[in-house]
Amino acid sequence: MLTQGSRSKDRRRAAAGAAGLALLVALSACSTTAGSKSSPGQGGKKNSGFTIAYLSQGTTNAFAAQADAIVSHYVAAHKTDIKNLLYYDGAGDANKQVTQMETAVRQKPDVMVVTPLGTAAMSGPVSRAMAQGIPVVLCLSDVNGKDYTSLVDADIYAESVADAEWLVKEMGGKGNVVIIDGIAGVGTSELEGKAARTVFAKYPGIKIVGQGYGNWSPAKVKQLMETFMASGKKIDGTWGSGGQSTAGIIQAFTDAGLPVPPSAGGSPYNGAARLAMEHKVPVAMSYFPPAMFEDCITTAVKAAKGEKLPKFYNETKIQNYAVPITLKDLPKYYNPKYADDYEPGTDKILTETELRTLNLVK
Amino acid sequence: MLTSLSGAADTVAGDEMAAFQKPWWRSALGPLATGAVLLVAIALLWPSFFQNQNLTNVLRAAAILGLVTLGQTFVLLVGGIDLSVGAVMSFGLVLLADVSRNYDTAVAVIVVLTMSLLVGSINGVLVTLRAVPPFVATLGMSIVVAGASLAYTKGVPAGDIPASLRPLGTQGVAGIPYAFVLWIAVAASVWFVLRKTRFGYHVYATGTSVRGARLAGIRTTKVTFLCYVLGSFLAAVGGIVLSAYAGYIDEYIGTGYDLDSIAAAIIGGVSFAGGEGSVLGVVAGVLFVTVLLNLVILAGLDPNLQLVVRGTILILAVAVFVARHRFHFSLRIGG
Repeated sequence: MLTQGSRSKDRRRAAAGAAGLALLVALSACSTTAGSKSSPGQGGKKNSGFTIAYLSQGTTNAFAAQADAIVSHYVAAHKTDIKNLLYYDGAGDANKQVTQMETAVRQKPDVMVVTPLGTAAMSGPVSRAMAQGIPVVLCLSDVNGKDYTSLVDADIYAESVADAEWLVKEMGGKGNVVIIDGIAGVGTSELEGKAARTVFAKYPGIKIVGQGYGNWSPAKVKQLMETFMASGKKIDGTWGSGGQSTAGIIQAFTDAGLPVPPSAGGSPYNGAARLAMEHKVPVAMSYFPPAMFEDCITTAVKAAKGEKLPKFYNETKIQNYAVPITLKDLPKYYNPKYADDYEPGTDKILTETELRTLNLVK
Repeated sequence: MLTSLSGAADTVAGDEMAAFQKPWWRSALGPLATGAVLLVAIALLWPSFFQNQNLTNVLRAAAILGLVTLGQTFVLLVGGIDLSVGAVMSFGLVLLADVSRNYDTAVAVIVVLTMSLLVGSINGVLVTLRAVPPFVATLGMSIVVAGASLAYTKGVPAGDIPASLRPLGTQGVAGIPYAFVLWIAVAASVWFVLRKTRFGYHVYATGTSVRGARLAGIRTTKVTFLCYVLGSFLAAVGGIVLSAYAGYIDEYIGTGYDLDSIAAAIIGGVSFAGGEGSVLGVVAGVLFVTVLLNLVILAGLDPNLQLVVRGTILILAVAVFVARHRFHFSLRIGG
């Protein structure tokens, strides 16, 4: 069951903490070599009945809603391992998440699962949790430095490189490209964009003729794309961050009655896959499903048990990122039974009833 | 002299209007002159701007922002502000897509417009009867509406934009988008309401001085309430047009329109303090902001630099307007 942290308990602990602060300061002044009682990020004090603090992105979009549902489903099915899940809704706001992280640490969970909403903003809070002896598993987003237990993620840089290389090959090594990034400053978006630009820079025949942030909003991407199309420059290929960008790009060309040039960088969520198949658009996509959150939770349980974990849990098992998903592969991912926001793989975890609750079944 | 004050939609004699309303051209002159200079500069620097397809895109984008800004203008004229317009647009799309799964498009549109009237009414009640500062009331309302949208959809909006609605956002006549025609028609109506009816006269009077307007017998609570309702209603209309254009369910569709509409209105000569501004100025302000957004993209700037340039020009434009406003004010005081 998802529960919020207790504020009154926090206040009592805060009061106790304040009273002990002077003593701590005195002790640290006496001995700078005095060690902490708990080792950084060390679990393993018990084998079951864990309390997990889950700092979610928040149900801000369909991806996050499916991710949260997957976590809830897993917890309900593993009550022996997980006694309690402390749920914190980040509402897509890094500042809010920083505060929530401090509150969560005071709850003394056995392990934390965090989807950082700010690469830099969350670095300090994650380090402080580790210093308190709480293992922290990062889920699908990174922080600066390596002060965490394990990162569960796809290799975003590698997949973006593969997608961009596919696009260059599709264009015959020359031509004009438009790049649509995600949200300015968001780690995933910037990393994807950096990978694509690095690839395009290797090919003198590839010229970037337009670029802008589409905010992962199909409507915004469509407006951007139409502006580039109207500039009079020929567009031979597009690179767009995430499936929402792919959807906006395809809408822009098809609404203008023009053929859609090769498009790379998206993900095969149901809406993007549907549009690409309907309009036979040559695409290169990478699988980035919320189903990965199940791995985040299982990794967290392992961390709580004190198991040795890799620093980076690469989600290569779901896709070989060196080989992009192309138009011919999309029927394997698209399911007409589900709504456009359905992410492939979610039905492998959630029940039909849970999918209906999320409005994912047509 | 003030006479009958009951009929909100009654037309009013020009000499009565003149008591509070400044000549229409005064607040519009700056934005129009700036726009003319801008167009000459664009012709020299970015000739591709004037390609037919690009002009069509600009007119369509301006129409959507313009509808929202006209609503925002009502609120600003009575000294308020509406930060909930973006949330109304987003929730409107969610409702439109969901309701049209089981009902006619017309029913879905009515549901969306009803939702906007409800939100506007709550904003109006909070600001007028509960004396909640407009910034806080509408910011809070934007969170409530966004939360309601999430609760309604559980984070996963469903449905499609009705095909019958798409032409409104994607087609036009002789290269002029239907959306633009709609905007101009609404702008003309708003101009008439603000300039030729007793209600418009009361709006300016309330924005100029609530106390003075009350002493003159104007029901300022009712006027302010109606402005918030109209603001929310026009935001929903803009949202419907944007949904028709996008053709795809996108829960973030209204993001940024709250601040862009305020910027366009202020650049168009509407005073933050209320009581001053014209529809013509607002139209010019909307075109200025839309052209600016279009140009930073056409210029092929680095994406991060685009944000810097856009923000800087908006700040400069507002600063120039404020300086001009102060200059005229000092002349009036001095004179």
